[in-house]
Amino acid sequence: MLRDVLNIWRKEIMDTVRDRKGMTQAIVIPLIIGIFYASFTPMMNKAMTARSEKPLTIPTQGIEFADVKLLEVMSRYGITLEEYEGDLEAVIEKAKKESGLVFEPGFAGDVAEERPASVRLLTNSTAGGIFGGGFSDSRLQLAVSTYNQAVVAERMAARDIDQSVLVPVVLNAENLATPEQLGAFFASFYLPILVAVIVAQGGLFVAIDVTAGEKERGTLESLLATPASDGSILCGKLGAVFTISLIPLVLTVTAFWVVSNVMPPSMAGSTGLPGFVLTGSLLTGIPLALVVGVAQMMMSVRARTFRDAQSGATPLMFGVMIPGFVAAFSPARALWPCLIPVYGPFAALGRMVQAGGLQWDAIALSAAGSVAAAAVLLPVAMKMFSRETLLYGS
Amino acid sequence: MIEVRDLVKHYGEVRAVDGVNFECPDGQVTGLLGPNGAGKTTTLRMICGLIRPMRGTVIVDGHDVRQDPAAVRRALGVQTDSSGTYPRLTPREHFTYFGGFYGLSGPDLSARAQAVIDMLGMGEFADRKTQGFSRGQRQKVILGRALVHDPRNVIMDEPTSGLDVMAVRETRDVIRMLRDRGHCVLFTTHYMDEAAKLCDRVAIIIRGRIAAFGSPAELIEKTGCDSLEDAFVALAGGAQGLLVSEYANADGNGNASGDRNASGRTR
Ligand SMILES: Nc1ncnc2c1ncn2[C@@H]1O[C@H](COP(=O)(O)OP(=O)(O)O)[C@@H](O)[C@H]1O
Ligand SMILES: [Mg+2]
Repeated sequence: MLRDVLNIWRKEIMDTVRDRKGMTQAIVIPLIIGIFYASFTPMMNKAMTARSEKPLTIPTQGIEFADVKLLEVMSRYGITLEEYEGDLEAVIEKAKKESGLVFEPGFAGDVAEERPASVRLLTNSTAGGIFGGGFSDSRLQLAVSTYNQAVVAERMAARDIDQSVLVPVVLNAENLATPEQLGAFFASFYLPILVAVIVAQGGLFVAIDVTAGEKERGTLESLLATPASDGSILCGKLGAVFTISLIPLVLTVTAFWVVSNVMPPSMAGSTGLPGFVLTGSLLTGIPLALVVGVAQMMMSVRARTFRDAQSGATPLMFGVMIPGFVAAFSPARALWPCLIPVYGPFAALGRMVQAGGLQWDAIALSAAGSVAAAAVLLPVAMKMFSRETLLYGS
Repeated sequence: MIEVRDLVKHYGEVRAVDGVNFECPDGQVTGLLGPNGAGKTTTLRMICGLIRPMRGTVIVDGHDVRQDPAAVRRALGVQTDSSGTYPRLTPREHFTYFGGFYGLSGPDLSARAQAVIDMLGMGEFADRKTQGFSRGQRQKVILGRALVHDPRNVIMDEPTSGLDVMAVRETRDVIRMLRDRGHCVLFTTHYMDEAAKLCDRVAIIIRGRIAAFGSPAELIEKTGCDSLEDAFVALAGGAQGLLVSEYANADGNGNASGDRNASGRTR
């Protein structure tokens, strides 16, 4: 029994490794995805941090009308106003500038004489990338509202009124996120998605090749005519699917970690991802790959051709990827969701990345969920994997 | 020794195999001769336990396929109906892979693989991947795969169909050689002259039933015909698709047989 399993396992691995198309799918594509995510994450991170601190120069018309105090407040927020000659509205509309200010004549006078003074804030949220227009817009609004409060305070003081009547809430906002946390925040978003995509695809090609593919090539019947039992054939093939699916998982997660660590901090905007991210991804992803492998085998067993099996397996791919996306967009707070098969590993991964360290309870729960699911699916797969279903489909 | 006892397999309305009985002794070649759709493949699949019979059973060297299919498969070498090869594996790797299922390993396994390679004259391409092999080269891989464990009993489903003249000759030589070495050989064909040339005994199967069983000489005697060919035609009745020879045209003979002996129909 065990000898037959090993014999099949060895042959399927050899067969797959020699298949250039299969190996490309198993190695090159996941590597590219991993490297892409790994470089994208720190870049996003850097862009976010940089945008909220970088000095802003805002093209402005009518600076001469502005109040000196307003300019002071602006500069406290790192904003410099710069006189702009020409059609400001047109350049912003064409997204050549992110935002601009236009002071009407008499602005300073209106403020001094306590008339409503107005300034136009022009922005184009599509200019300057996703961290462009929108960002300078909110910084300008913040500066103006600070200035407003200062002016109100002065006026109240002149009338001997305690200004606090007008300020029911004082919000002292401070972002205490460290660069490490910021990095982990993005990783907690990308890693579940990355692992989901890789696991959903990793062994699929092999799962189809060793079932429907073997049927299509006309070699299956000879294999079934040997004394090997249905169970050993299934286990040998499943073992090969599982083994091969680990290659892209390990490679991708490693590439993700390496790329984010070799990137110079000036480029990454934060220090590289810590090593636990690598361990955590593998410890949650490997048991998941086992469940997915069993499910993929079940999907492909009944198909007559490679094509049939591929279309049958597409819903399964989404069945793995969607929980990954759900975990990425709404990370679980409680521990118990880690036990949910398929969703659990992603939840556990997200929790660990956000907490900044391995959480053995989350890993254990997610592995238990995966192993339990595999233990339930395996007997079903065994039932489906009889010589007659293999020969004739359902 | 293969004993087929009252085998039945229906697919819905189709009585693919409907009570088949015959025996294949050691040291003899038994042919299962019948037109397309007669139930040959289904019978062979039940013999090696790929399909569970609805009724009846098969005994191979004393093992009952219903009780111990693995023991039956161990006693058999099988060339199946759909016979592809793994394109990324060499013939030698095919042989060691399949040999591994029959308890062979290490030097014994390598020696058996080499013996098959020598026996089939595959030296030149034994270590090339089978991708792009000619039909004749593939046939040798398929034969070798079935023979690597030196099985006492060999069953082959239409071993010569689709082959060129040389490959047909080589396959027939292998069948004769197996017989001379005392193996029990059972193969299916829809070529009459192939059955006549190769077989010690012939079972004629039509619509899932055995129409006649015996040596070619016995069949001639039984039908009172003066040639083997006429005997087949008489027994096969109006069955279409039974070819006198692999080089003949199906129509000419099928029509003639229908005229000559309508009473030869078995049902
Ligand atoms: N899996 C199957 N499902 C339905 N009918 C089948 C199946 N296999 C064979 N048959 C039918 O059983 C009959 C015998 O088929 P087969 O044993 O393949 O004939 P042969 O090998 O003599 O050409 C045919 O009518 C065929 O259509
Ligand atoms: Mg057939």
